[in-house]
Amino acid sequence: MARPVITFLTDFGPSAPAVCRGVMLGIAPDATIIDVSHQVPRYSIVEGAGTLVFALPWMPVGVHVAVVDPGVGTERLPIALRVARGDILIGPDNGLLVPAAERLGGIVEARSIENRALMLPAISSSFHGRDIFSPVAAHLATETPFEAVGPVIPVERLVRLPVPQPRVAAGELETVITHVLVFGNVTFAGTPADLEAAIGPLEPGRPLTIDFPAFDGQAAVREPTTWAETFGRVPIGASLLMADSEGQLSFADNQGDAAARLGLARDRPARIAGA
Amino acid sequence: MGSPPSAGPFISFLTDFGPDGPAATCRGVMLSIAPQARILDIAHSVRKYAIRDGAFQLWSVLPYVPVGVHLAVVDPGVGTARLPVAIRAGRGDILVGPDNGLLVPAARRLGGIEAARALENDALMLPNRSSTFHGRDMFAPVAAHLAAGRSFDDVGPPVDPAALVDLRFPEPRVAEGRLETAIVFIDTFGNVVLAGEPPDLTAAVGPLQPGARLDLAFGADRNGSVRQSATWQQTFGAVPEGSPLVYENSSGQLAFADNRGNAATRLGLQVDRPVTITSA
Repeated sequence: MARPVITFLTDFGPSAPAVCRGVMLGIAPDATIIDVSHQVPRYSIVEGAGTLVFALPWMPVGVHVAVVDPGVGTERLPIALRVARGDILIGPDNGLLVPAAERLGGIVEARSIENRALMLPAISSSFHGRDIFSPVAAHLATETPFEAVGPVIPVERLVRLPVPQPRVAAGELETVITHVLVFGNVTFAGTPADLEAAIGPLEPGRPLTIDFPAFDGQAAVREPTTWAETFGRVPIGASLLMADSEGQLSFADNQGDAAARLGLARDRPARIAGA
Repeated sequence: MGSPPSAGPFISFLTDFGPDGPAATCRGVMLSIAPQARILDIAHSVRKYAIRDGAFQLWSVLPYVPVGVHLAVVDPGVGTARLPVAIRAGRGDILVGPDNGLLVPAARRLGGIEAARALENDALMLPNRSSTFHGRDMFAPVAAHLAAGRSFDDVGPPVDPAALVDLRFPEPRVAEGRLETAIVFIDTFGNVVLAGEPPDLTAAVGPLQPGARLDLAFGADRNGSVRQSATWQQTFGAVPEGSPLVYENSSGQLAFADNRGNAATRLGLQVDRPVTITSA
């Protein structure tokens, strides 16, 4: 019999997750806990949601706890989502869970977490990760049925994050940086198909230009680059645009850190055109 | 394999991915295929793209790790012509990763390279393969299938071990009254591992008693050369706080450190820098 799997993502940093792991293992001693990340930038619901989208499709079916929760202790609901693949996602109703739930086949049912019997006896107003989300997740990873957590809430009432969309313009794709990843690789809204709709076929080696307008104190940058299949197709230190492992447009330096070199951050607009 | 059946499959895991998402994604892939596997994370903080740092950490750590499957990904050539490989070592381990030298020193230390194969069996990989994340799509699933009992011979065709990309750490040279060595690795304390072992140093400068005075000359880089006096010691606490020492590290290698300090930062040292050690 396989051990139940719980995955765990927070913006807590390195030490507070241990308390939550302790709570979970106290309730579900056989669980395997996979730490997805605890270094989500503090309070960044968007970054946390993005990391879940990248990671959860490759996790075993299980219970996924995510806590990036600047509204802890306010009226924002604690929720549990059951998705078509069979997973359960646990966390705050602030948009954090929804994109990943959609990647896992879509939300089948949403419930508000209200059953005190599944929580720690004393509930603080500032650490629901420990007092509510972890114990509920651990109970669900063992024997407790999904229906036990609390009443059904309408899926259309869940809080959702705005999703940046690219815009196909005359000879260029207007897009925006959606993520900056650990190697300094930058993800744009949109796919190669979007870019081809704007500028025509993308052959490996095709020269391109990316314009990053001035933004948030950063001067405008024009970056010549190349459409390539993977990092090693361009010289070390040179930049490339490619489809990343999720099929999104991605900009990187081969063996470098493109985001640091150009001072790029999430939400910065960009225009991609042929050179 | 040599581990007792009750222990279940064992996988060790090293990358330059950093602490976040990518390494966790690979753990998820492995546990989906081999739910009983125990996964030991050796490091995901390998300096990015530093194949030799990763190779050194594997070489240092794997002898202390149970026999099993060892997955390592420091792979600046991902998606290019470099082969994905599995290497079977004399001890019974299987090492999985890119053919860029990363696995070779550790495999030699685990009883030598017995056989190598190219990873070509699509049935052991994820169905959709990206060109930039072979850790997730290729290496992790193959490692998990091997840990779950698939035969080494199933991964793909044999590769001549002599044709694998080799990687050698710097070697010391004993000269008249001096040891010519180089920086092999710098650890998180800023302790500096040097090529060679204590017998190499005694061959060059004579017997070493604790407290013996040594001079280290770090070769010129763009910041110029650096000279440093230090004493030969058994351990850090034998010198005052902040003072340097030369010692035999826990892997039997020559090393240089500051007691409770960071010698590498203090002196601006980098891997591969040449060092000459003489008696003071």
